[in-house]
Amino acid sequence: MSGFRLNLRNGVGDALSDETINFTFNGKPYQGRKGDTLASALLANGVKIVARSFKYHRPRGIFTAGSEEPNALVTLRIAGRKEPNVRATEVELYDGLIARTQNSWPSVNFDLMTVNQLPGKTFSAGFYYKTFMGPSRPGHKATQFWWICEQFIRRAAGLGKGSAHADPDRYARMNAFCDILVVGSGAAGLAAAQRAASAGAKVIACEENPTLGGALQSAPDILDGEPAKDWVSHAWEELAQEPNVTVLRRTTVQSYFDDNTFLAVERVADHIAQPEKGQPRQRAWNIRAKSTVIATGALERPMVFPGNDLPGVMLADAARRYAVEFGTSPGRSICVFTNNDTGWLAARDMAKSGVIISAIVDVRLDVADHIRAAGEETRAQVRIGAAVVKAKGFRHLSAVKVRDFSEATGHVSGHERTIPCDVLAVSGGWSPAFHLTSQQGGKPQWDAELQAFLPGAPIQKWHCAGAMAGQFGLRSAFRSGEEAAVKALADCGLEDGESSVPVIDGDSVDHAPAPVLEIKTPGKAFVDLQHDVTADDVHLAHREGFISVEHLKRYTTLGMATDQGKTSNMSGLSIMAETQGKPIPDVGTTRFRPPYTPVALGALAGERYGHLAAERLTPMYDLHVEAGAHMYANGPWLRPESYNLPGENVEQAYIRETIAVRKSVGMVDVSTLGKIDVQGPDAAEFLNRIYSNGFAKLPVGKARYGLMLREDGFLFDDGTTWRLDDNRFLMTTTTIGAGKVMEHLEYHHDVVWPDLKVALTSVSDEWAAVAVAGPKSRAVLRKCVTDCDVSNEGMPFMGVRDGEIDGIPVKIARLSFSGELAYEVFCGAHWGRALWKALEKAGEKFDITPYGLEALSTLRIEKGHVAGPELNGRTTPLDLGLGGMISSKKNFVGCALLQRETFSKEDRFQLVAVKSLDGQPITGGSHLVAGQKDEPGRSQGHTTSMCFSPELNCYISLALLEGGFKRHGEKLFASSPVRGKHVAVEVINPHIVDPKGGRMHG
Amino acid sequence: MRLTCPYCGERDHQEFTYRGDASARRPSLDSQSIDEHNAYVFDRANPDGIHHELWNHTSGCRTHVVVARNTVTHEIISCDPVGPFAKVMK
Amino acid sequence: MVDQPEMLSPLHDLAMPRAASDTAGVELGERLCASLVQVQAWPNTVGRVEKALSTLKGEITIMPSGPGRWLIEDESEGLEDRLRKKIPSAVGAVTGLTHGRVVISISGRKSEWVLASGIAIDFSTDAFPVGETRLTHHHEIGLTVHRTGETSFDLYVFTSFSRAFWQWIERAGEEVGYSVT
Repeated sequence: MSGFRLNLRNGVGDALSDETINFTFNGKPYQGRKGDTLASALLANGVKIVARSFKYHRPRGIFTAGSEEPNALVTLRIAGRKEPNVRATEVELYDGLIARTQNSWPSVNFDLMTVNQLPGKTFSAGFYYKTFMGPSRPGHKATQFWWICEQFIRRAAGLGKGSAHADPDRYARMNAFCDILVVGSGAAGLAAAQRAASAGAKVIACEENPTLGGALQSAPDILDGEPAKDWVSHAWEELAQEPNVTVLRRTTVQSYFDDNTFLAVERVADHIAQPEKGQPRQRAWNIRAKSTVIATGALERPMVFPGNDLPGVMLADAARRYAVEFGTSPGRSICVFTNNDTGWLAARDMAKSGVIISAIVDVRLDVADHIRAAGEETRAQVRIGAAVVKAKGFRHLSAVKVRDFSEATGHVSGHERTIPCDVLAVSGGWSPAFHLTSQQGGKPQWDAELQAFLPGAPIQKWHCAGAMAGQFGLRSAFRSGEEAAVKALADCGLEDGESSVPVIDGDSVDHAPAPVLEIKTPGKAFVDLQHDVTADDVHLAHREGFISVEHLKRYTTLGMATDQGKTSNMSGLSIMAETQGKPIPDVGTTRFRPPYTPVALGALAGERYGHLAAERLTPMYDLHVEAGAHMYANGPWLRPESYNLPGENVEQAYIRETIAVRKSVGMVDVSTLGKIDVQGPDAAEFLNRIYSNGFAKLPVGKARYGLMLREDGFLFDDGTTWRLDDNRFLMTTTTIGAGKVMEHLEYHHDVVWPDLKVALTSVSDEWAAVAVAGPKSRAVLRKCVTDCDVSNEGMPFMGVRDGEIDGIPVKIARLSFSGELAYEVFCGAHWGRALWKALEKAGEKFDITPYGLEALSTLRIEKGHVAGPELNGRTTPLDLGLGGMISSKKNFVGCALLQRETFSKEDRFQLVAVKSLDGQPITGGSHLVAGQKDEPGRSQGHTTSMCFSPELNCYISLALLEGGFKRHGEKLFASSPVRGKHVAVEVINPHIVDPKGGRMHG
Repeated sequence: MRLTCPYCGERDHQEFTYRGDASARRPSLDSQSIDEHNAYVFDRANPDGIHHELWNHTSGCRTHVVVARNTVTHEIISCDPVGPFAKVMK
Repeated sequence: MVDQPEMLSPLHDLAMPRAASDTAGVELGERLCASLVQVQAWPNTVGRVEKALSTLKGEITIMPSGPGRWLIEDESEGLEDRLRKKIPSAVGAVTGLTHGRVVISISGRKSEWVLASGIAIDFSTDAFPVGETRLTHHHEIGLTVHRTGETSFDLYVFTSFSRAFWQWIERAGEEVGYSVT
């Protein structure tokens, strides 16, 4: 290691262990210690440039020591585990870690893209809008110009690239419930958790970092006679033992949703080389809390002055933490530039750890004696009433220029002095991290004393504590933590619990800064480091009329990068306020959006079933797969598309299956049909109100085809309903419609007619169902059915009977979707496999052919039966030639609005079939037009369900055609311009097979 | 968002299905009036404040619940059962 | 008359017994019900239905499953017919669901953890005491969860979704280790 590691001892580098860790950065091997972050290890190795900036490709260095880092974004790991845009300040070092810089080419130290900053104003505020949304350029519309330029700009500007490989790791979820969620484990969070736990509340405490204690981890104070770090570690250890306390480390509470629900992401295995077996990489916690204590601390903010983005410029507290916690000097010689007391104390703590402090520069003239005394301990030169006017250096800070500064006027004066240094530690004061309350719409309130926004009044059950609530300093933190806990306990109806504040021996610090965040001298001074937004950009936006803070944000992209402006918002606001001549609170703040830090998509998605949804399988699924069926996703169901014989494609297979049904017999798994048990003394009355046709007088032992309308008169669903008993019906619905029909029925029962005594139960999964269709279907049933007469007399068309097949109790209904003599056989689902096999065996003699969805569809298209593509939500029964199923003897759902004039117009889309005249297949969704390909004319309708019809020996399709009922025989074209198809077709009657119905009634 | 099912207790809103404006009342079964049905199907207020919404606890006991919710603050004011058992549950 | 064939679970070849490793945090199992029946009372017959259910004999588990509604498991067959006799249409509705559900059981010290990783209800014993039932879902799969003990649960899963759910619960169990009984 080069010489940036300090002399490690008690109190210096306590985060580190002795274990050496090997890692590579941009392919070069380095060593760090266990306990290092990638950032601290890079600093210890003297690596100064870790990134190139977003627009200008300026070299950038490590700026913070936490998740607010704007600069040090790196890509971790390789292949499927590659992860871009990770903050080096949060990465825990492990052996073999691979990290690379982003947004630089060919290398981070020599980046050709730096040319982006040469043409000066090229990428100033609003560049994209001005260049690409403005007036057309000769030959190009502006948007076309954008298309041409986009690829180059995208390469030049941007962040890391994701991996094209599948991520091999798991991302788990956890649902949690608690009385009180405590966010943050610093002094305030600890006090709140202790107090809440002592009252018996169920507590979940989340800490973003691997170690608990927040600022106490590096605080110089002594608590109950122990160093703060030791004291807080013991306190948390003890608390975590309590059965009612769950402590989650490495867990960022990312999002605060309505009704006190939270998303927290736990980085379970990001700190090890790869997750262990079964272990997720990350776990997304969905936490529902009765109340919450937010103790997220405060974020230090920078100062704005020319050159403030040079590597070597970093936040003062970050520099302090690298020295104290990680035993690493951020540089050889450190200058501190501050507008408040904490910068001085940072200098003192660093000096105590062995860091060389060259100067302390404070914009204030009035600095308290004990703070000046702390400064003197560093033996640095002290400049009060002075400001850094420029950071100098080629690719890295080498010196700062300092001039006298007047807090009253904001002007600099006097001689420019140069102070050589390689790190400038800046402190512009502290901004409470009220991101979570802001996400929920909490309105921040300006505190002029602290020169900061505070979270404002709660609008949900939250209570703020510690620095986040403006309660700076340990005593205030402990006190406000306990106070917040008492309020949270009251939210949960619990008693106050016990106080346990330690005796504190330490600094007394005034956290109020001077109201100075910008030093106005010429040069590029950055406000938003991650998006390369300068102070000049903010001024320019103002000149161009972007006055509102929301407009300014979008126009300049200030605060819109992956860090959401954690370190830039306050400087941006203060510059805006000054430009507008208004006080800061009048300018207002933008609302923070979830998540707090970037979240991996894997963590949000968690683990889901299959591709998108859980697969539903019928009881016969395995048999279909064994028979070589092509399985096809039909909604959530996996169904056989066709049973291809060796060498057959899907079309050949379904044509063979269709012919087999028409000639002999086939069988199809229809277990996916929606099935609803409708019972009760008012069941018949209820169905009569729901269906457009009559059901009140349906005899027991009979089925009836029914149409359901929506209340607006359009068709909703169809299916057969069987009367099993006076007060008991079995309704079937379409496969896809099952869920929505159930909700439709429940709505009408619960909300519209609650007085009807009817019970509705989904029994879709209770019954397996097989349709046996074809002229030989009766013969097949005769061979296997016992206890039931399946003759034409014993079981007439639409008859429903109980019987047995091989000992399996079955319900048989004589129904036909195919137009052939056909039966639907239902049995208990756990017998479904046995039923299928029994029917197959009984049908052997007749060459019974299993058929899939394609043949099922072909059979019904040839018959002119409608299904999903025709029940598209825009058709009425009249449009589909089902006007005869509208009862005039009763009122039903949809009957009034079905009377609307528009539904009786003759030019409505009406159901027809079309057949291909030139041997070409008809594409589904083709438009029906009158003209040839070059001049097709307007669309007069469209095709819905297509197939090859063995009956007509050509391709056919059902279609919805303007005034189609009267246009049979007309010649049109089925046109699909996007597929380049233009097929000559003839309009025909949709009832192609057996229009009189002799076959199914036979 | 958390909704309180009168039967199952408080649950995530993902267990519920939104069924629209709870103030819509279907005209009586005897009515064939297009105007009355138009109002029932299409006319909706879009209140800035308290809105009564109908939710079905589809992934639970399947009870319908009338949720009074403030569309501005997202506050849930009440969750009341509807249906045959509403009186028994209240 | 041929004897009824044996019912076949969709999980028959998935849920094969697997030995417990040393670290198994949960045990998984599956079974079919001999009888599973839903009873729905009318608003004015709740008391009569409750009374009818109280007279049921044998190994019966009664799980409340909605207003005036119960899901009843019997370890012997034929419950639907028996209940239909006790509860005529004027008193309530009786629906057989023996084939409509597969019971997946989970037990062991980490069972709450595994269930909570996918199901958004509070599984702590104070919120969900032993013997009680909860109706909920996992993604789009509806579930009836019956707590049979401090660390054991029976989940009544829709038959068509039972494989998908089983695959999920096995996967969820990998983190803590599982065995199949």
